[in-house]
Amino acid sequence: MAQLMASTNPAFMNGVPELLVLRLLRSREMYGYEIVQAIREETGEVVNLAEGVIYPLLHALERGGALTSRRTAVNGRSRIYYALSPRGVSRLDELTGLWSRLTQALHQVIKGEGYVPGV
Amino acid sequence: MSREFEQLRERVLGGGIGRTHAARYIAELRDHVEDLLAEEREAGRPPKEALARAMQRLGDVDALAEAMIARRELQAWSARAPVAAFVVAPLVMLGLVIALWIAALAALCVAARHAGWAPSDLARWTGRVASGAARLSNTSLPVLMGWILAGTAVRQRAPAGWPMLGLVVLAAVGAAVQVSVTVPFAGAPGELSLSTGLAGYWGRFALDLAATTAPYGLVSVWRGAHGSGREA
Repeated sequence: MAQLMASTNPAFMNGVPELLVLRLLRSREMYGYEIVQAIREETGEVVNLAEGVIYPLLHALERGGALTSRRTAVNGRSRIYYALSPRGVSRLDELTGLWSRLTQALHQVIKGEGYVPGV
Repeated sequence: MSREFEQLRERVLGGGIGRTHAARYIAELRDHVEDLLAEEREAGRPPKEALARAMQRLGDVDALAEAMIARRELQAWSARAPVAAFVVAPLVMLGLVIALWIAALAALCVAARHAGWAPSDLARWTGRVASGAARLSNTSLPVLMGWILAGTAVRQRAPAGWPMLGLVVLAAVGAAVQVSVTVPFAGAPGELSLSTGLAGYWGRFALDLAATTAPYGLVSVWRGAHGSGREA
């Protein structure tokens, strides 16, 4: 999904775009282009999406009830804005907890200290 | 740019994605490209280079199609359950429509009787309606249902196997099940009869099958040769 993923290990990055999208939409609603640019900026371009593939993820999250969408006309163009739903907030909390534990564990392993749950 | 989006639309529909999601996907990508183009132009790039960079940033057709097709939850019902969509649902619809017109006819009879219609007038009018409806449901209705089935299959770019089976089954059932209604008159009770069996109806079966498979085949071949010619 991301260029980073394409050049490294897609399976390893599973769930990252979902986490980023949900986190970004927690503060305000955005449309696709805005989301992709925000991901680039917030991650210092480390996660650099092939931009169009954000939309299948957005559609799937909306289908799953994590996002809501509304269509609005801007400068004669029809834009679809996405916002986080209550179910999306729960999903974000779940993913945040999961990734926090994972990154903490990986950090410990990389430092050579081993991972101790709850530390 | 339009060619790429048209290719993408065909790929995504062929991959089983629902038409609504496919159309929205293409619309959002078009909008996205416009934003990318504006950004690239603002950065001082000439139009041709700006377009090339915008399309590169958007992703190629393969990547965009695969990302969408991989989302099984966005697939159309006809792609997820083709047997139900192309074989079972048309038969259920056929049965429902027949049941509905019979129920409507019965309601009409009751309403007319309550309204004080003379029995002879009631029998004449309802008799005409009943025989017309029975003729339509015995001859035209299976063909109409077949056209709807074929239209759905073509629009959704469904592989031909299940729709063809659905058309054969629909033509067979449509020819085998014959409805006839006799309205009550002069103290004699009305009668609703349902005959089944293809004996004597092979000609009807062949006619219905040809009336549905021929246009389906022609449209499919035409679409294969020329593409849809329509934007999502």
